[in-house]
Amino acid sequence: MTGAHWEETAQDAEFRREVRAFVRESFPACYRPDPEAENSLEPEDVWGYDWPADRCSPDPERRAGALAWAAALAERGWIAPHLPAAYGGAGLSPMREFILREEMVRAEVPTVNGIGAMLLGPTLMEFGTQEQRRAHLPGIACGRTVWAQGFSEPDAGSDLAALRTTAVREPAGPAGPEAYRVTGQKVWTSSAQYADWLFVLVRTDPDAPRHKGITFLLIDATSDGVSIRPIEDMRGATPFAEIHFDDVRVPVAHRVGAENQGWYVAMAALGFERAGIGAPVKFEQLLKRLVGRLRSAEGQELVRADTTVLRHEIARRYVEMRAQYAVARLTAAGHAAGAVPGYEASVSQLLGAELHQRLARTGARAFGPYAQLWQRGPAPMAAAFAHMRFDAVAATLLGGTTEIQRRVIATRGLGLPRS
Amino acid sequence: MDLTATEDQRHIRAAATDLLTDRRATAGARAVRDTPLGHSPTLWDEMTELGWPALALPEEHGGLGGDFMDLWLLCEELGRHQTPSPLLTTVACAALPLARHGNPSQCAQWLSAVAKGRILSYVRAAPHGHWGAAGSDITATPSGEGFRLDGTALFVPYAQAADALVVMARTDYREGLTALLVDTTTPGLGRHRLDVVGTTPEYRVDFTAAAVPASQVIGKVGDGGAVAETVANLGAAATCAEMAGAAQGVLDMTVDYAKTRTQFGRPIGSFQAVQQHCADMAVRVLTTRLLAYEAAWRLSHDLPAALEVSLAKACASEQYQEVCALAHQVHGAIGFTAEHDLHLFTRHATATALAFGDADHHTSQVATALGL
Repeated sequence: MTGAHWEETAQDAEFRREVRAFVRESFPACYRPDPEAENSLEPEDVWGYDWPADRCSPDPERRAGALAWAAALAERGWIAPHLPAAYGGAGLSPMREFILREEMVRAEVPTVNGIGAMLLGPTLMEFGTQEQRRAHLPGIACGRTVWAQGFSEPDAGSDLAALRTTAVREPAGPAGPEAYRVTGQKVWTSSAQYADWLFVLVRTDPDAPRHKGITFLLIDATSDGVSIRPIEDMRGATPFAEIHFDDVRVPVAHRVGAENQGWYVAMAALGFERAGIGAPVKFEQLLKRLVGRLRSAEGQELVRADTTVLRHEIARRYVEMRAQYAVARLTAAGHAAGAVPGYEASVSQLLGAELHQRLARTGARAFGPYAQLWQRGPAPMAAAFAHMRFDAVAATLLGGTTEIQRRVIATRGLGLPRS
Repeated sequence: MDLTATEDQRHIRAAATDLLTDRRATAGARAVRDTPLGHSPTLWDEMTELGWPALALPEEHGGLGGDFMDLWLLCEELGRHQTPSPLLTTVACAALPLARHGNPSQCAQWLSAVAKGRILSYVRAAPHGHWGAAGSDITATPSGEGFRLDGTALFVPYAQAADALVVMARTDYREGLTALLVDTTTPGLGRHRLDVVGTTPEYRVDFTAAAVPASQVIGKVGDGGAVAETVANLGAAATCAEMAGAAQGVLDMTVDYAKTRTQFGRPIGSFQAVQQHCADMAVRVLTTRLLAYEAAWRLSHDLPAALEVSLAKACASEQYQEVCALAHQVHGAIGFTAEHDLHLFTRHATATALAFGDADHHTSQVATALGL
């Protein structure tokens, strides 16, 4: 058994330098965000990118930038770096993938195809058929096919197993091969309006216990009967959408895992999602920018008088960030050692969500009355924290409420009895 | 990065758990609380037999050639089992600083003595209530072939059991502190036990014209600040180990209780509110341990670690106390009784939060490191 250590190996350090050089040379200049543009982001994105939207943007420069960035990453297999090279990935180890993502966040460049690459990719590798992998993974890995995840429903958010979208099996016939007929509604589906494909949970056995009658399906977003409507959030942005399925025909070959086993496939997929490194690094970058601003001559004029309170508050956020970073590294190390994603992902999610909100408040507080400036132009740090303050409102809800994360930690992590 | 333990580390931890579980009744915090030395000399002899004080010391001075991480693991187990022991004080706060800053003859004499079970302690720097490594309440005045020490120091751990003390003193004619190794049998040195909330015995030590030969200066006159900093960093990091182990112990005890204690016909651990408390405890324990481990790892590899020590201690000082508060909430009245062990941890949490700098002190250090 190897020794416990925190410093990376010389080879990993070399890989880190390689990623830095790649980003420096390959990131398209036209894709840098306009610091004064209003954002329309997922709450965890703070740099002003929305890659799925950007690749369909009416602004030709932005669209070209998003596509060029995807192409540059795809050439190295770095959109889905963990996938085998045969499917367009780079076959990177979990530690290398961690370093790659960490460096991309440090360079303030966007993730491409996050949902498809990080959630569906590993899910198909583990539960998909050979045909499904061949059909879908190359599209994900080259950035051509954008996926959205349809789990939540109007009456099944945190209580995901209450979902009601139904799929009824139908034999092969004139309409095509054996298929499911899907009817129902999904909601809060991130970037669904930009997606080419959806992966959804549907109820295939209404008489079975709730978790045992669910199936995981891949659905072409252009299928007849699929309609997608963006939903506006409290910021005026449209990061998510609702999806209606009206008698949509989905071939049985598009099922992942066995019929009625979809719950287990979905839980594994969420385990892949939540072990992210992005958040603590993004927060650290933002905090360092805040410190730099406060130290500048202009910052000194803007800053509140009671700076001892503020300096302690900022330092506390830094301690919390380092703790979250340590958990992310632990998760990556566990993954590298072959551990199955467990409750650590929920720890990361919980820490990140609450820290996101505290950091936004701390940052906004630093600028006193200027924290109410929403317009980016005249505001300190282009109103980054005022915007983050509202971006972060959903942080403790999205991907499962923090109460649900605590429940996962308590039952799966600590073995407490289910209620 | 790999956070799994080495084979050796797992052996150290397992052996410590076996011994400390076995001796809990005779050498745990409850058993030794009212004894004159505040720890069990019998258990200390057993630890010495097993090589615990020698583990992290260099081989040329009778040590076993391990590193600070090995000591850290032992401290973690001492915290988990609430076993008062002069191990942390002797090794982290005196022997290892001596190994780094002392001259060859001091090392030859004292490190081998520690390896054989002699106990050391330290008189911390910083006057009055502060935690920084500047200033001291003890003065060293040149006198004859050495120095005369005067003054009073509070919070000297295990002073009654110690054979010698590392003392940070100030001299009038020289900037900075001077570190001295003072034999506790020196005339003019008085030791008085303090009544404190924690489980570590703490003393007031009075120096009244106590004569110390110049050969006992550690490093050079005026360079004691570096010694004080080593003591503070190693002491804080080892204390974080104790806190991380203890917080884990509190979590384990609370989860066990929540699984077995029934109310309204169900185990209380099935109630959402209790689950949320336990989950919060688990997150706090995990982050405390990871930051503490990172600091200790850097120290044992001689990397700069002052920031990581402050991150770890700022985190541990708040989180361990919060873990105890949540544990009390889950335990209800039974945890408030003297017969239950939880209060030992709560006392320990209160005291260790203050040892080597509280959360505010270390948060301020972090702010300074960030450039604020």
